[in-house]
Amino acid sequence: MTEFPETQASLLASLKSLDDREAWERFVGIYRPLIYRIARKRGFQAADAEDLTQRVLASVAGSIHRWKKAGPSIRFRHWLRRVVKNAIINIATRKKPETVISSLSDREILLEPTADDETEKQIESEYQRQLFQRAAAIVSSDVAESTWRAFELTVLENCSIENAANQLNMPIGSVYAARSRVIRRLKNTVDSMENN
Amino acid sequence: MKARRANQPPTECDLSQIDLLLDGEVTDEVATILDIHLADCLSCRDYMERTAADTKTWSNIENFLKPDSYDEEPFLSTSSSASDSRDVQTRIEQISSALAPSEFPNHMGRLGIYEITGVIGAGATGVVFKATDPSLDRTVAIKVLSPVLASSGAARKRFERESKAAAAVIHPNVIPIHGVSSRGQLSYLVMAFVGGDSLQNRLADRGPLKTEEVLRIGSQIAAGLAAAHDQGLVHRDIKPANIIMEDNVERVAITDFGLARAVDDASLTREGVIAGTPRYMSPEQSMGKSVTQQTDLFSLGSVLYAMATGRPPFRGETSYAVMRKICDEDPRPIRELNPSIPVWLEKTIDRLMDKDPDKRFQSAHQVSDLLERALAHTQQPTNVPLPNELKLLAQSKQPIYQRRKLMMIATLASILTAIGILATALTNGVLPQSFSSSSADYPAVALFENAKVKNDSGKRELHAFHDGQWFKVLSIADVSNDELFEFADANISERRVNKRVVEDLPVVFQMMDKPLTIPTKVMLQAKDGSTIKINLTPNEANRKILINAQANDEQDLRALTSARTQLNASLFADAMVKSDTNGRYLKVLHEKQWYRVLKIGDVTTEALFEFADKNLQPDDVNRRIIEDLNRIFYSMNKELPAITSVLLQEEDGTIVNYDIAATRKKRERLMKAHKNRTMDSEEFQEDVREFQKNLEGRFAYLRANQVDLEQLCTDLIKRFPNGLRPSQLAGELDTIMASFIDGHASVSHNSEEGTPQRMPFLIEPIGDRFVAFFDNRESFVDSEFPYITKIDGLPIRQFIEPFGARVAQGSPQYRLRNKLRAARDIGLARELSKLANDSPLQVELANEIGTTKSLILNVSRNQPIYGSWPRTKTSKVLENNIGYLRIPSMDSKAAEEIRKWMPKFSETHGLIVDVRNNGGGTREALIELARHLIPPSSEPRVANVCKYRLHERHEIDHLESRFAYRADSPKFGEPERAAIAKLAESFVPEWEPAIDEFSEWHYLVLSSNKNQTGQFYDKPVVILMNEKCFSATDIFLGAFKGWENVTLVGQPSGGGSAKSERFTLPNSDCRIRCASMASFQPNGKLYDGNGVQPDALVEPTPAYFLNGGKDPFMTAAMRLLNVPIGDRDNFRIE
Repeated sequence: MTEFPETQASLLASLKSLDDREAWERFVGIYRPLIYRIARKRGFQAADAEDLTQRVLASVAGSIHRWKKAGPSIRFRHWLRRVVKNAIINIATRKKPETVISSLSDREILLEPTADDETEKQIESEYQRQLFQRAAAIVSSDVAESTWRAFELTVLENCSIENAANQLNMPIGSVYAARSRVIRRLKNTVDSMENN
Repeated sequence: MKARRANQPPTECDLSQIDLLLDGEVTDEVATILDIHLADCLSCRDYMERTAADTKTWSNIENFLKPDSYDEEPFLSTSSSASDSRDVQTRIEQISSALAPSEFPNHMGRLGIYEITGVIGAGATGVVFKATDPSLDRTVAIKVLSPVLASSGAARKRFERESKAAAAVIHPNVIPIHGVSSRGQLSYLVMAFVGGDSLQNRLADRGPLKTEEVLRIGSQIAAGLAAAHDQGLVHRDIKPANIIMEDNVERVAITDFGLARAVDDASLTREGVIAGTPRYMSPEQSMGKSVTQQTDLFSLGSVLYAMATGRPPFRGETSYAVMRKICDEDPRPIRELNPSIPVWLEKTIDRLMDKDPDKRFQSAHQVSDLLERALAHTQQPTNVPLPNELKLLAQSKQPIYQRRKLMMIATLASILTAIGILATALTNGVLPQSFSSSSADYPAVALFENAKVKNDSGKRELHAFHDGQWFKVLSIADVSNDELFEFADANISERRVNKRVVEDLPVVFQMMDKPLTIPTKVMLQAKDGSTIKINLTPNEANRKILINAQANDEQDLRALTSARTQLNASLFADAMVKSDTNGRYLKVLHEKQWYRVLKIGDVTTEALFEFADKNLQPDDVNRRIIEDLNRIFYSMNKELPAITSVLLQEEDGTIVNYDIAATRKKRERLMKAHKNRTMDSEEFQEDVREFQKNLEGRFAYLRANQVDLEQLCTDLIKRFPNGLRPSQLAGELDTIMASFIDGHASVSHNSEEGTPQRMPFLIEPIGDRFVAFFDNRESFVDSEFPYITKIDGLPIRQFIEPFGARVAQGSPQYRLRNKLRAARDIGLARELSKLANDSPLQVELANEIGTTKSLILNVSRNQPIYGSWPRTKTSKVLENNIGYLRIPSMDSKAAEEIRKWMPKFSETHGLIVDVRNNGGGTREALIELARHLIPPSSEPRVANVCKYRLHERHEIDHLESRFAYRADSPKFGEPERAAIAKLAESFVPEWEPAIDEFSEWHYLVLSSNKNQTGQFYDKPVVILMNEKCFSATDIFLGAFKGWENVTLVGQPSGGGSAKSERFTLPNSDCRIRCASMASFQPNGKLYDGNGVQPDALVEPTPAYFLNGGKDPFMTAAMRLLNVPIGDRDNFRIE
């Protein structure tokens, strides 16, 4: 994995506000896979998609001073979200993936793009996906293993309630209750992530 | 209900139980029963699934959580292992390629004499191989330092040093080290090979362990640590992954002293390096503070916690979040997660995990011993008693750790800066384990337990308290006493030299560019003249003692100088004023019981209230009776004997007579209780509604902007359903007042909370920038770097922004000025920005071209003094025959000054009227000066148009003190009325006060001096103004704005005009100031929210704020008055 140049790390380090730092960490956690997936779905080769992801994140990191100039009225995470959206739309809507990597300048990455409903929808959907993935990581470690399995089997793995009950040696009612509880917690976790 | 359900299966559906079930809030029995019911009841199941989440969420979850092909690609398999494993693979390959080829085909290679047979594992610092030692025919583990690290001299040295140190630890619970080599191409360490699994894998596989296991493993880890500690080693990285559970024997061994370092290793401990996995890290490690053996005890506690519960104590999405939790939060109580753990074990772990290192157990030896004995007890409860220490611990009611935020988040932040969050976040949120930081925060440490500066012999000497006695300090780190003071005198403002040398010696040394080392060589001289040379380590404990000692000295001094200390005594430990049908009465706490007071000495309660009503401000009566009863008696000329007879009545009517002593302690308790008590929701609501009622009834600017007071008050009440403290209420009300435009509005509450922490310098805006200087006006904070750009890492505007919510919606200049002023309370500013509050101030300064410099300054306990600026109060005739009229304040002296000086200026070519920094007062000066500036033949001029809120307490002459009268007032003559009528034709107020809520329009009209015909000043006049002009000064400036012979020069004024009134809330004693008058400039604009714009804008320069600096305002005035070019720039501020 390519290391980022010192300068960008130090730019980022200038984010002294703790909330901003946390926002950044969370941002990377969500957008790194998001950008990659979108790039892949748009026909990028895996290596190109990786490269692109790193470039976008590096450019965003490198342009943090722009946010500072934009003034304190704009919240950091909102700004991040907007910039990366612009970058993705700019890149994803180009015709030839291979030219993107070699010719894209940081300025272009940050350019306000023309609206593209489809890409926006895709970003939103991928964003949701990342939120749920993160929520799943949290919830699965917080609930009993059997509870999580009951959910996994019946919701994600198309296993019937009876089968799951047999497999987990649980009463049928418990399987129902378990998966509803997991769903409820996933929803609450995602809600709280979105609100924070 | 539950019991009934438990006995008979539910036949009916109970949806509320299902709600509880979803939230996991039903008991197991109920859950079981519900499960049975759910299996059959379709409608309940349906309800449950709909309540859990809507269908869209169900399908989202299904779609988003099903892995697709992309998720399997390496880049996305982020569950740390995948991406790590790639790194690890690279590392292994890198190192393997450097191995010498082996003669055996199935071996990976050869390293020294060792035949490498396989890889055991790899970490951030290196790779561990399995190898055979042919000479002894035994299997060994070889840890090879990663070549990247080995290329750094420091890391190599560290590796060698740590290995040697670790090799000295011989103990069954520590994996032995056979040898170390760092001479060849690879640096490596040869350890005994121990077959077995790590505790981490064990926990992952099997979850929480039994009490017995926890104790057995715990006591062995502690024993191993004890052995290492005996050698002066700190492991620093105790975590389940570093504990090996040996195969076939009940023995565990600690491995990877890879990060351990000798405690006294001065050169490396100061790097601020984070070692360790965040989850098991101690708070002091998280904060980058110095690490002692107590650190390992914390981590041991965390490991015990993990064994007892199956999960690490602190979890978070990111390393950073984990570290924050370690510093700020207590983990979830163990017995909540695993009730089978005995209380005493829970408390033992709590104690190990105390945030304060000193409160953990004394040593690993002690812990090992206790756990071993506890294990014996668990195995044979009847024969072996539980150790007494643990019994006591189990009985302690107080939780060992309390929720507190003693941790330095800012330090944490700076460390994270050092490690480069970007790299961290882009890889997998795993902290790189090796990095170096050159900018670790300066810790609050001291060399000595106490110190003082003596000046007996005419020269200053630093004396220090060490080892129970006072010494004269001859030198510290080869800097002599004299050199120290010479440097301090040259670099620290005079008033603070002694204080800083005493309290902040390490900072002074840092300023000298000679940061104190660990240890520091110190030469001391005892009273008998003998000298000693010792090595001292600056540490935090000393600093705490020192600061405490210094504060106590001051306190004792104050106590001595206060002659009337007996007035600070109280008969009761708490008191309140209540009222019932018989009127007010005093309710007091005596011997833990509340009574109604009938009589104190020979004074009845009625007499007491009567006296108080007569002699005290009505707003103050209740508070003073509660807090200052003794003082009231004193002013009644009643003496309270040491023991006073008091007649009290119990709740049931019983009357009792007590002889009670007044003590200072009781008063302290009372003050504390009174100021900090929580008002219950009833009292709180009463106050909020009273606040609302008063504002609605009398506040002039209630509707000047869009504020929904009713909503704000309702929200406030909702937010604190259980009431709150009076000081909290004051803060909340302050925020509400700030949403209005009233620049004079304020909420005060005299609570004394904590020691104030003040900014040690002043900040002034210059355009977009800010200049920082000391309040003696002798120097900038740094002479080369006058501008200040950041405090504690935050840009100045961001640092002061949290105060925005507490500053009224005034003009931009008003808001900036007041935010800056509020931020002088550094403690509060940091609190609002969630910054650590116990460290020195980190400031970033800049010079003219933007080069920056960082500096660390101690916060001050004293408010910096702004004073008047310019300081001069003297009017005079300047060279070039220009008059200079200085009005620093709009008081009655100002009018006199004008009367006195205007005749003397009659022959001048021009006049400068300097009202800079004039914060207001009365309008007399305006009226007086106008008399001299309006030609006798000229019409009167209207200066202020205003109305007051109609309210029972606002009399018809409400605005007379503002010299404002109704148009038909007899105070006005015909010319004034004509001027008013003329203005009224075109006057359109920016905001129209409602007719039914306000009086008629009132006018302030200025006229010429009719008695002295011909005596008026007809030369050009320049008025110097700035953003600190406020209130009556705003009126003054607004009045002269647009006059043909007057030019306003400088910065826009603050903007505020009010006749303000005060009311006090009954329960909290919050005092609220609000405007009763809506006040407009003749052009229809409000003063509040606008201010007065100058005709010519002048920016100050940094030098302007220092004594003797150039005065660009005066230069501009001179230019306007046509003073010859060469003479314009001579003005120095004074």
